[in-house]
Amino acid sequence: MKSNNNLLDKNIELVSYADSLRWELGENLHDSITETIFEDAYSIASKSVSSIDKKVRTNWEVSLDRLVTSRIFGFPIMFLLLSLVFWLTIEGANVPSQFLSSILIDDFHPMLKGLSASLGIPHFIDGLLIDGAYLSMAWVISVMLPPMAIFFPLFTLLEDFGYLPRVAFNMDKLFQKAGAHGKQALTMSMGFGCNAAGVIAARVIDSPRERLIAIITNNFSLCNGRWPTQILIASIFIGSLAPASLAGLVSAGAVVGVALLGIFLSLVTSWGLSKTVLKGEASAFSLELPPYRPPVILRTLYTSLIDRTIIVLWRAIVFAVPAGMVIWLVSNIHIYDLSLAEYFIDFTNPYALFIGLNGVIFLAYIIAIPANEIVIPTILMLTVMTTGLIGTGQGNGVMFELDSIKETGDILRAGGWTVLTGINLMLFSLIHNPCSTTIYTIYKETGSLKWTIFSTVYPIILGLVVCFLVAQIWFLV
Amino acid sequence: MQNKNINSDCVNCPVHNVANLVKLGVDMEGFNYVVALAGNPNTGKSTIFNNLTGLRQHTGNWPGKTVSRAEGGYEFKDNKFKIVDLPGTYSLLSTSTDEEVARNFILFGQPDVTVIVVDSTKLERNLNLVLQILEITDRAVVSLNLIDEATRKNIKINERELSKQLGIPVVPTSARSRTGMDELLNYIHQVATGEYVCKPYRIKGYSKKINKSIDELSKRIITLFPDLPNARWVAIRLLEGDQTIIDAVKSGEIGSISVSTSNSISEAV
Amino acid sequence: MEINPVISLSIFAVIVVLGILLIYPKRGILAKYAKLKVSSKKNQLEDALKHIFDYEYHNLKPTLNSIAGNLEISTDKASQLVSKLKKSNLILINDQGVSLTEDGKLYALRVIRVHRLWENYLAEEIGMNELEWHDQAEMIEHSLTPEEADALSAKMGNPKFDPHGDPIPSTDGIMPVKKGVSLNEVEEGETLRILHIEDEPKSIYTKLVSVNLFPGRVIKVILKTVKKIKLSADGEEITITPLLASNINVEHVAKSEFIEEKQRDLLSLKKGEIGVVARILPVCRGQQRRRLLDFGIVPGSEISVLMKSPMNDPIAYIVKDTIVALRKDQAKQVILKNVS
Repeated sequence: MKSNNNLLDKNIELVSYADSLRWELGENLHDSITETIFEDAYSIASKSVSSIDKKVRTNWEVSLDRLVTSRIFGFPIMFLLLSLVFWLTIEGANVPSQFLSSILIDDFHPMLKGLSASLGIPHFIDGLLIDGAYLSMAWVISVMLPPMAIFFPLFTLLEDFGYLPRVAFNMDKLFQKAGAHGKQALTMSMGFGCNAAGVIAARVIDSPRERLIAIITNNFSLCNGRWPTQILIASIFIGSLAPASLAGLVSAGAVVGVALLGIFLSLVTSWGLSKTVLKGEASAFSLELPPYRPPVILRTLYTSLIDRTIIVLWRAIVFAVPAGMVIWLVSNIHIYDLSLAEYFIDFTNPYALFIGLNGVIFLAYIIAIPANEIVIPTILMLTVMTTGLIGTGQGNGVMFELDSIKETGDILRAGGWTVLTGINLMLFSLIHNPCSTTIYTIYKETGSLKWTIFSTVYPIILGLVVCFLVAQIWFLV
Repeated sequence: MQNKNINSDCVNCPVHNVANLVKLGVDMEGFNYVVALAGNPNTGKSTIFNNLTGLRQHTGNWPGKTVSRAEGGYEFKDNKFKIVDLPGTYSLLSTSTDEEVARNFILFGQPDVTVIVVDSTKLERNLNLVLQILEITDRAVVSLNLIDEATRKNIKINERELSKQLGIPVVPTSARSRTGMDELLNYIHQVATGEYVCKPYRIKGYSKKINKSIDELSKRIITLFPDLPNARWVAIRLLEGDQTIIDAVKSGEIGSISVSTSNSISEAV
Repeated sequence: MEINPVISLSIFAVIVVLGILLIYPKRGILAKYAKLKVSSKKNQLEDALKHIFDYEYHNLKPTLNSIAGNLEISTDKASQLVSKLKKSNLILINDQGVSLTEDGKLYALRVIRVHRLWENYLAEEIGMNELEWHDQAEMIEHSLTPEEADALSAKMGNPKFDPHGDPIPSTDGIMPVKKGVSLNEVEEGETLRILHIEDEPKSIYTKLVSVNLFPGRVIKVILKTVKKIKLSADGEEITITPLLASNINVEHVAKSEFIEEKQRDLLSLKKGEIGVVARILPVCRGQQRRRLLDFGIVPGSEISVLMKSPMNDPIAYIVKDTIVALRKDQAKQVILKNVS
């Protein structure tokens, strides 16, 4: 035992000796070591590399770089490419989404119901499991899977080709001014597809401070799950304000406006954070721009499906199942004559109306936390339930959607929606807590409960304040 | 060769450090050898990994992609190899998590072979990492990747000369078109089994003042830990204030790294 | 909820104003409260210890008056502090003034260690402006435990010097003796390297920062009178007063280290020119510096401009066959020689 201690003492002595040498060597040790290694590397390389007429970059690489980073074309190309990706995602996802939904919701759901009826399963269990858990899961799969299966591979192709680092290069100045990192442009773009994936993508940012800023602000990128909500509400309430010929254009403009507001809020929040709690100068950008390399398309499709789509979808399903049960329970547990949902809606309605929303929206945003995609079906179900509309929907706690925009609008108007409700819903859809999948991912990535809570609560408060201001100014005018 | 067989009755014995590998979270059950895969970001490292294992790990054309460590396995000439993909790093000297993971794996895990994937079009810059790794481990193979791109850019690399300079096998590869993979597998096998004995290049040109400190410190390290294969490197890490190494020296854990079972040059000669 | 929008909006405005008053940096209520907490008894005792240590380190005699002056308190209060320190066996009182006991010295070194580590953390990991390092560290030094300080130190690779060039004491209270001499004590014509710049008082430090004097810079004294000292560095002439000079510590270096001419930085490099890297300025530290080195931006490397981003910043360079994008601020910190 004694000899062992002796040995340890000697070890500690060795470390202190190294320490004393460090005082002598001064501050520039790391510099000198790196310099020496590079000197050796140079001498080895010069002995074994012979390059006559070496081309660091091929001509097409040079021209392509000149084009995508040019003062005139740089940004337009960027916006065009990203818009193309989003357009392909939204348009391309329609058909498979409808296909999945017709199988999972239109066919399989009634089948399950029929089966449970023939087996004589009590209504309570059948409702909880089939109308609640199953339906919510089916909904999440059919609305989330196709867009993600299109968006992620497309995005990954751009990434593998080497274009995305150029986007960071182009956009860095803006983020520099906000005290953030240029690579945040990428996590932001990724967030337009899916916030959870955007949060994971923030790994590419080295500095913990800037990485945290990118994670917290990612929620302001309008994700795939929210685009359809925006488009629907804009067509119903904003488009109708304009003459019919311009309706489409006006509502599209409104959606783009909301997305741009998201980018603006993301920059402002980054700036605010880097001036206060996450204080620090805009640190280094130092990014290597890799050469362009033709992506291996099949492999990219395969791996981005495995790497991103499945992970995100799985997390969404895990949260959707219990949430579906909650949705069903709150609409079906009655105390006296009213369901829990109705109590909540009646109680919160006055406050919600005060900020230009309504109690249904409040409840929908709370219970539809697993995915933004199920917010509208939940709102419709709750609206039908509270207004007692007959002939629409499939019963309490069963989410539904309508093919016709006009009919959807009629239901909402019957629920007391005005243009103000529409505008504020669009704003609140942009500025509210991240979905549970994203919250969970933020916790996983930051490992900090404090920052997870902040990323969740901050947008809610901001969203409520914005809605309040819009509503009050609306009332004033 | 003959001589070595007499000298050490265990030419084919793996050198990896099972106890430390378990600590690092690598299960060696059912595998004969462990291969670490290191390299700069953007060198096609993950593609090499996929080619070797058949596993489809995503390969991003973007620095700092592989954040978590990927593992896979393959069989070659009746030996089972476990391959561990380390995070892509520019260097191993800094305090960032990526570099720490890579550094500690090579140091404490003592992989039987470390494959260093380099971008042939940027050889000099990539040699920075190669030289650093050769300070830690004797057993390495350089995969001169993206060699087709280098040819297109009129860069000619004399791989025999490079191999002579570095003292380890150098294999031109193109992971995308899967060229050079057989040769790479072969060399990994040879280095792992001790058939190929590496004589790795060691960094020489430190300034007098630094060299003196390294010498004095490594002398003391050797007295305390006579089996340590890379005392000079440990000395440099102590001088750089690397906490992992400081802790390992203080606790004596650094002694778990030893050359006793290995057939590195010191024994072979 | 029928409330007149004018009233509700006014209430909101009032809340916003109150909120700003509360959290406004430096002058807000929360910030003032934090400052109040700092001047608590324990902190004053620690500050007094630090002051005594500082004076002894510089071979000066600490007195009741110097303590009162340094802590900006009355002599009565200072004598109360001193008697308290005496009771805790941290100092001895003698004819000339006060001196630290061994325990007192270790205590002071612990506080100094935290202070300097934190300055290093702010400079290297956070990238905070140099004028803010000191004030932040003054607050943290009283609250961080030794264990937390050790963890912080380990995370940063156990730095040995703070960003002002001061040595950081080790955990067991070891710190090398003072090196170098005051700039006031050197002769005309001597070539010197700045070792240390004192960051207190802040007014003087701000002036020194503004004339671009920093640890590591090699300077030459070209004129020395009672009223002013004229320095030359990298083709730049800097004139300072002896008062400012007393806050600078220097060491003698070989004449060959002096750089006569104004050197160009990477930012001034034009397209088509090839520069050779001479050095990276000391203001580029920590992770940023290491990353530049990793990219091969080391003395002797050739570097050229490739392209600018649409908003002119950052700029992409080619170094060692690789394209590397740097922000303008960083490019300014890379000094070139032999531009062709």
